[in-house]
Amino acid sequence: MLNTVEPVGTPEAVTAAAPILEVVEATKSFDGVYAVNGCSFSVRPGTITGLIGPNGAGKTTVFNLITGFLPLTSGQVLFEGTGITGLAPHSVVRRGIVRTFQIPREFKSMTVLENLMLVPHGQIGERPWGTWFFSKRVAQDEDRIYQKAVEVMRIVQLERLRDEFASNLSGGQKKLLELARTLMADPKMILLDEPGAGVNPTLAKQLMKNVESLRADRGITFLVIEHDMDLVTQHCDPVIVMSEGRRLMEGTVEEVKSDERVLEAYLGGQAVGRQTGTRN
Amino acid sequence: MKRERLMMPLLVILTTAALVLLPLDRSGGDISGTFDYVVQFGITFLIFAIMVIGLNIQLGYAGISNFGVAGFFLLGSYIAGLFVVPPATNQFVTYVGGFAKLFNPLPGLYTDQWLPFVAGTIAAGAACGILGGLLALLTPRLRFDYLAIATIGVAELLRAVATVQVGLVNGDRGLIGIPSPMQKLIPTDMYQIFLVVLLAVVLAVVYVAAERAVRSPWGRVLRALREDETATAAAGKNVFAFKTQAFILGAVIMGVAASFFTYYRRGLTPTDFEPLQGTFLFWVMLIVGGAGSNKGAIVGAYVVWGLWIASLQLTSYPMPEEISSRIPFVRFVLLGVFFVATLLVRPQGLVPEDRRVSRWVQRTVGRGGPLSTPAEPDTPDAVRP
Amino acid sequence: MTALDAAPVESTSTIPIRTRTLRENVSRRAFPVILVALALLAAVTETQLFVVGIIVGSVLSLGALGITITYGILKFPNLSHGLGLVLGGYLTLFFLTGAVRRSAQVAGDVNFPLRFDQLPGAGVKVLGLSFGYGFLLAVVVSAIVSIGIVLLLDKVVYGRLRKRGTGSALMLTIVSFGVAYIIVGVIDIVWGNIPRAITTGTHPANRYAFGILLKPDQIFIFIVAGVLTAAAYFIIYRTRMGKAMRATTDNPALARASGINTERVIRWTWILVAVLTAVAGSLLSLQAQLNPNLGLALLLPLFAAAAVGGIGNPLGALIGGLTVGIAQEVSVAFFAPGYKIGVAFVILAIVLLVRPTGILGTKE
Repeated sequence: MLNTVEPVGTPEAVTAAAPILEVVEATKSFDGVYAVNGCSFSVRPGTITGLIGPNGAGKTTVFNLITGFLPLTSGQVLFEGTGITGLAPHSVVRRGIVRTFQIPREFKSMTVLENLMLVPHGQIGERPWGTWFFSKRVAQDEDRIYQKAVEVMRIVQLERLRDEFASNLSGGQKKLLELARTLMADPKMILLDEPGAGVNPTLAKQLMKNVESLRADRGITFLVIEHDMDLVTQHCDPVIVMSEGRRLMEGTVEEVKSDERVLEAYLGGQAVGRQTGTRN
Repeated sequence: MKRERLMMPLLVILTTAALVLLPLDRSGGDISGTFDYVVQFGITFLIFAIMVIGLNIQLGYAGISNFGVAGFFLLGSYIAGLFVVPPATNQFVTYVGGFAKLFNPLPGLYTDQWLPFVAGTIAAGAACGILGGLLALLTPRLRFDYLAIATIGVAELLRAVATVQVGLVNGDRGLIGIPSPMQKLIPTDMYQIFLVVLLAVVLAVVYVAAERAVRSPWGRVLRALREDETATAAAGKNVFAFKTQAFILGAVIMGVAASFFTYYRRGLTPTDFEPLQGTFLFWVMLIVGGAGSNKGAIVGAYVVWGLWIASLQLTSYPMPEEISSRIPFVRFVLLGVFFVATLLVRPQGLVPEDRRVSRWVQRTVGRGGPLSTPAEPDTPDAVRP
Repeated sequence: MTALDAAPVESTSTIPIRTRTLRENVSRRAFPVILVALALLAAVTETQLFVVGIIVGSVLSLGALGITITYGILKFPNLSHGLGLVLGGYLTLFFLTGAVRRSAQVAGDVNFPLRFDQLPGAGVKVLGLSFGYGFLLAVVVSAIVSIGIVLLLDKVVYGRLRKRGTGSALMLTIVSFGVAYIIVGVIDIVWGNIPRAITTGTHPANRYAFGILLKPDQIFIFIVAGVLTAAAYFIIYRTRMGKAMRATTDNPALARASGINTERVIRWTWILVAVLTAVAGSLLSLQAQLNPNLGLALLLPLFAAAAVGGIGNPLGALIGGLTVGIAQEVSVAFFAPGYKIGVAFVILAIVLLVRPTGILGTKE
C-alpha cells in the first residue's frame, strides 16, 4: 500500500511513458479577472519539472487548481490518465499528488514527530470508536507509523528535532518538515511551491539534494515552482514557463534561457533582474 | 507561574466554602438542610459537567462554535421526557409521547423501573446527534461564522416550536410528572444520593471516552485542523468529515446529559432552555475551566455553577430591597465579565489543555523507540529507503 | 496557543465551498427571480402584511447593515449586535423619560430629572405620532452614548485582542457572545426584565389606498430608516473614509500596505455602526415593547438578513432586511406569530444551502 511506484521511474520508461499529470485548458477567474487562462501542460513521470514565470503569472493558482484547493472555472486536470478535476483536496492527496506551500504551513502546536504521524491515511485510530474498542490495533498502527516517521525524518535530517514543537523550527527546517510531511503520504507526485524561498543556500541545496534522491530512489515526480534560477538550472528538466495565466513555452533550461519570448515576459512583468538572481 | 497553579485549587476551595458556609449560615446551622442543598448541587453539577464535556469536544477539540447548546439541551430533555412521561390523561394537557408503555420489545426484559430511562437516554443522544448532523449538512463546511448563527437559530427555533406548537409538548406549561429512574426501588431519603452516584458513574464513562478519543490519532487530526484547515486538507484529511464527527459526538454527549436533567427535574418548560441558562452558562464553564481540556470542563462546571448557585444565597441577607432584588442580575454581569476577562487575560483557562496529543506516541517513544535505528528494511509497511 | 486561537479567517476561507456549477448557475439567476416573484405575490394577496413587512424590514435592514459592516471590517459576526439595538432603545427610553427601575421585584420606576420630555413642548404630539420632539433629542443622545460605549468596548476588549494578535475570528466571536450577556445584565439591573413600551397612549391608524392601515409612527419609522440607510450608503460609497472601509473589507493587508490607517478605519466603522444600531433600536422601541431577551432573539433575523445579501455586502443588507421583514410579517397569515423566528431560520437555511455567498455574492 505504501510505496506503490512502479518501475515507471526508470530512465528508459521516462521518455516513452504517458504523462503522469496533464493540465488541459485550465481556466480560473476571480470575479472576471483571469488568474489562469487556458493553461495546458503535461508532466512526464520521473522528472523534476520546473514551473517558472514572472510574478502574477498564475503558478500558485495552477497548484491550487491541480490539488483541489480552488475549483476550476473551466478545463480539466488528469492524473495518470484519469480526471481529478473537481476532487476535494484530500481526495487528490489520496490519488498520490501532494503539495507544499509557499509559506510553510506547519502545525505549530505539534511536535515534528506529530506533524509527520498525522499524515498517513486510513489510521484505525482516526475514528473515535477505533480508539475506544480497538486500542491494541491502534497501538500497532502507531508503532508502524512511528517507524515510518523516523525513517522520513532520517531522509530529510530532522531526527534531532523529533520532539521539538514545529513553531520553534527555522524557516528552512519548516520547508524540510513540509517535504517530510508529503513523504508520509506515499506520494507519486509532489508539487513544491518555492522550496528555495526564504531558505539559506546550504539548506536549499540540501533540500534539492533530497528531491534528486527521492526521484532517483523512489521514482517520485516533482513539479517545482522556483524563482531561483540557479536551483532551476541545476535540478529542473524540463522547465515550463508561464506568463499571464497560460503556458508560454516548455523546454530545457538552455532553451528557456535563450528564448526571446521568455525574456520579454520577464521584462514585461515588472520584477525583472531579481527573478534571475539568487533570492534569499 | 507558581501563583497561576494555585488559582485552580483556590477557586475550588472558595466555591466549596461558599456552597457549604452560606446555606449553613442562612439556615442557622441546619446541617441536614445544608447537606441536602449540597447534594442537590452535586446532581446538577454532574449533569452540567457532562454537558460541558460535550461542548468541549465541539469547541475545545475541533474549534466548532456551537452557540446553540440550549437547542441540544432542549431537544435531548424533551425527547427523554416524552419517552418516560405517562400518557396525557387530562384534556388540558396535550403532548405526544407516553412511549414508556409501548416500549416493550422483550416482555421478559421489560421493567418500567429502568428500561424506558435507558431508552430515553439513548433516544436523546441519538436525536441530538441527528440534529448535529443536520446542522453540519446545512452549514457550508461548518464554517464557524455561519455555524454560530445557525446554532443560535436552531436553539431559538426549537424553543419557539416547544412553546407555540399545539399538541406537541404542551406548550408553555411543559411536561410534568416525569418519573425518575428506579424511583420506587430506592427509599426517598436516599434517592438524591443514588442519583449522585449514578451520575458520577456516567460522568466517569463520558470522561474516559472523551479523553481516549482525543488522545489518539483522531485527536491529532482535530488538533491539526483547528490550527490550519488548509494544511490539514493538504495532508490528505477530509476536514469536513472530522469536524462533523466531533460535532456529532459532542451533541450526543449533550443529549445524554440532557436526559438526566429531565429525570432529575421531573418537569420541563420551554423557559428552562433560555439562552442564558441553556447556552451561555456552559460556555462560561468551559472557557473558565479551559477549552480543550476535559479536566478543565469539570473544574469549570464546578466553580462556575457553584458560585452561580451559592451567590443566590446572598439575596436573603438583610439589605435594602433595591439592592437585593438586583443581585440575580448583578450575577449576569459578573458572569459576563468573568467570561470576557478570562478570554482576555487567561484564554487557556484554569486547566490548560495538554500539549501532547496521542498517548500511543508517548508510549512508543517512552519505550525507547529507536532514534537512530532505521526501520527494518523488510517490514512490509515501512518506508523503503 | 490555546484551543481558541484556532481558525484564523484566512485559513478557513482557502478551501472552497463546493457548490455544483449547475446549481450555482441556476441559483444565481433563479434566486433573485423567485424572490421578486414571491414578493409580488405577497404584495397582491396580503397587501397589509406586506406593507407592515416593509416597515419591519426597514428596521431590520438598519440592523443587518451594522452587522454586515462589522463583519466586513473586523471579520467576525458580532453576537452582541442584537443587544446593541435593544440597549439603544433603552437609552432612548432613559433620556426621554429618565426612567430607571426602582427594584426588580416591585413595580414602579424612579425618574431621573435628566429627561427630554420635560423640555417645554417636548411632549406635544404632532401629526398623530406617539411622541414629540423630545424623542428625537433622546435618540440623538442615545446614539452619542452608544458611540461612547462601543469605542470603550473596542479599546478594552476587541482592540486588545487585535493588538495581541490572538484576535482570531473565533475568539472575537466568543468574546462578543460574552459582551452580549454583560449588556443583558446591565439592562436587567437598570431597567428590569419586564417588557417596556417607550410611548404611552393610543394612536389610531390611518386608512390608505388598497385598504392599507398604517399608524403615523410606522411611516415615521420607514422614513427615518430610509434616510439613515441612504446616509450610510453615501458614507460607504461616496466618502474617503467609506472608500478606506471598503478597501479594508476587501483586503486588510493590502489596505494597510497602501497606507490606510486600519485602526482609524475600525474606529470610524464602530462609530457608524453605533449610530445605525442606536437609531434602529429606538425605531424598534416604537414598534414593539423592549425587553432584554429581545436582543438575542433579534440576532437570527438580523443575520438571516445579512446572509441573504451576502455577509459583508452593504447593499445586500438592504435587500436581506426587506426580504426577512416581509417574509416574517406575511407568514402571520399562515402560521402562528410565534413562528416568525422560524421563518427567519428557514430563510437562513435556504440561503446557506443554495447560495452561501448571498444573492449579490461576495469575493472568495
